[in-house]
Amino acid sequence: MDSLSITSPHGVTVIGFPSSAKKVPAWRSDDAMMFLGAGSVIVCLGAVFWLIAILVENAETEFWPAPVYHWVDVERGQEFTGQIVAKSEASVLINRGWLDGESNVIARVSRSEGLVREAPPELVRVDHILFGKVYGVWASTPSGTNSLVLADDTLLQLDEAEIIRWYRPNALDRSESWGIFIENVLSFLFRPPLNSSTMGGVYPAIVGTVVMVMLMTLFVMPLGVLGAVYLHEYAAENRLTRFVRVGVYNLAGIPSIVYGVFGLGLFVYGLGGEIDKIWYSEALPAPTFGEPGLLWAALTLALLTLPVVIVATEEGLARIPVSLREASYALGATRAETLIKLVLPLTLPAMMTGLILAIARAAGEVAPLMLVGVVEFAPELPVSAEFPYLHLDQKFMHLGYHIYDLGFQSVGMEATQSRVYATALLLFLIVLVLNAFAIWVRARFARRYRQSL
Amino acid sequence: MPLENVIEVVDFSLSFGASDAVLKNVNLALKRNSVTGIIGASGSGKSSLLRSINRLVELHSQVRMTGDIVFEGESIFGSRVDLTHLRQRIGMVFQKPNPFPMSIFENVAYGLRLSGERSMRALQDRVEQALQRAALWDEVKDRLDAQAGILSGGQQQRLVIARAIAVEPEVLLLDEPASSLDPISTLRIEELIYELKSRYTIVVVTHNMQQAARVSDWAAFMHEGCIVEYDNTAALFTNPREAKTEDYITGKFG
Repeated sequence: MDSLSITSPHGVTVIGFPSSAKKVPAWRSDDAMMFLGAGSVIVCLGAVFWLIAILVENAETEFWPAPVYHWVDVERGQEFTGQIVAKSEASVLINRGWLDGESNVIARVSRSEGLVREAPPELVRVDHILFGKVYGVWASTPSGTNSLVLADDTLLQLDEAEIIRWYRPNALDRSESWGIFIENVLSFLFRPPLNSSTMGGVYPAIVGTVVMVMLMTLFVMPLGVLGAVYLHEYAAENRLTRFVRVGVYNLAGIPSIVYGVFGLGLFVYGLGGEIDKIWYSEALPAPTFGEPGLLWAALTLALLTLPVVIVATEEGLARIPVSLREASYALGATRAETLIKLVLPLTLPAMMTGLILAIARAAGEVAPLMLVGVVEFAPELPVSAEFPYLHLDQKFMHLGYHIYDLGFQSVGMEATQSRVYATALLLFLIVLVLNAFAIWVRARFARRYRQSL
Repeated sequence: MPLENVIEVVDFSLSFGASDAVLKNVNLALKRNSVTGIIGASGSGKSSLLRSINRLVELHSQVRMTGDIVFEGESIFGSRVDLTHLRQRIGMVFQKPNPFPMSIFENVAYGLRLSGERSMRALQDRVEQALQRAALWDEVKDRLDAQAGILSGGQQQRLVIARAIAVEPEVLLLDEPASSLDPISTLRIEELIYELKSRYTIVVVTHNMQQAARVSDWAAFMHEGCIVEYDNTAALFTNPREAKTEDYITGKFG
């Protein structure tokens, strides 16, 4: 490499190197670790986006008004009317709605050369309280618009009071479609399920999830924060403390169903049975608190999320520098005063982070809840205007369990498929928002901290 | 009539756990309204001595002490001594500025609130007074609600001094108060120490011999947990009796 010499007018030789003399590549081509690492990041990101795409795509059928088709299979001489549930190369799966005394009749239409599909604009979809979705054409009988000619040419009389709404899916313009879309989203969020959860919304499940999580917060926060304070501030650093700490951290790794069994045994049968014997003996043998319910579910999840809160709080406490504590002691503060006036307020964001992570975990938990209080259908909310307002002994609905129930336990799995995805998307969004909030809180904490130290 | 010596350290020894003694038979008398500088190499026990005087050293779980420290005629280890009260009478400022992550006002009011001051008026008055004595009032009077973290290092250190003197202590222990500051901030702290001398008895631990020579009336040289020499500053620096002291102040070791 040649060095560059310049002789200045004063005769002094200035030696320099051309700027391109030594170029260090940002990464070396044999750095396999980087490619492996970047590859795994791409795989993870791809999986997340794929998940979101699948959820959104499948949930869309739940909300966006799809056309109602009329298929005529000339070869086999069959006719179907309904909305598409799923498609494959060979066939489409359709929901024919109410037919022959059954709701949500599912049929498979094979794609063949003789299959003719049309979307007549006069086709009507009626959402009915008892029958669910009904497809047909309004009969032009004198009895008015309340009788529908179904696909099998039978006449169905509908009581106006039982009709939730009706519309012509094939004759909607863009704004009407959007109107129905918004209506669907709102009713999904704010209405109870109807017709074996094939219609209506998941409102009780949202309320159940929220109330259960709030109740859990009431139990887990004092317990977790005080536990962490003891472990970090008071307990002597010896073998026993280390053992307890490792034990607490490992609680997070226990399968959640084990907590369910634990909650069932300890809370429901143990504690609940005792409460029944003492305060509700007149109702026995019918159990009041001696069966799964809101209180026991909240307590079980509080135990399950306890390690998260303890770990987060301890980390927060550990981040308060000794110099601040010493300054407080040197001003005459006692240990308790230093904790209450200085350390705990500064640890608050860390506690919040722990709490939100706990909430996110609890909101998505299903397995233990099945044992201690969640049911597939409970139209009565656990909160009401009736004394005692919060019904701790009541069973309740939960979003996570609702997904499981819709996907695997309901009679017409095909009819509820889009709801599975819609509910999953809702749960995903709730947890995502909570996690984003936790990250934001932590970042704020870090910023405030850097500023003062 | 007030005693001449505010604090007397009598045959005081200190050790942590099973390790060697950090302080060995230390004897030291701190004169009223004077500045005593303690110099010595790192690890010679200067900070430990300072932290023994307000019993902050007891935060360490395995501390062992013998001898006594007498404050205004009473042992600080006596059974009737209220630790909170003692620490309010003997304030302390640390090496690194450590303001609380709160507003400037709340920092200074912290100790006052601890001692039970509830009235906002009284708090405001005393916070202003403390900030003025710490020569910080003019710089922060318009932003008392701002976070203490936005102040410069030198301002933070003066804030911490204001926080310590807000509770009206009788003694101020300064543990290398200027070692993390730039020369100008250091000068301001030194001027402040000089001004505060009329109200408080001050002990300054420092690495910096010029600083000790500038600010202190009395100086003690510590080496390996012992007080090697204790004299008035001028005598100690110009005419040390001990060879070790001379070696240290002439830079032969340490």
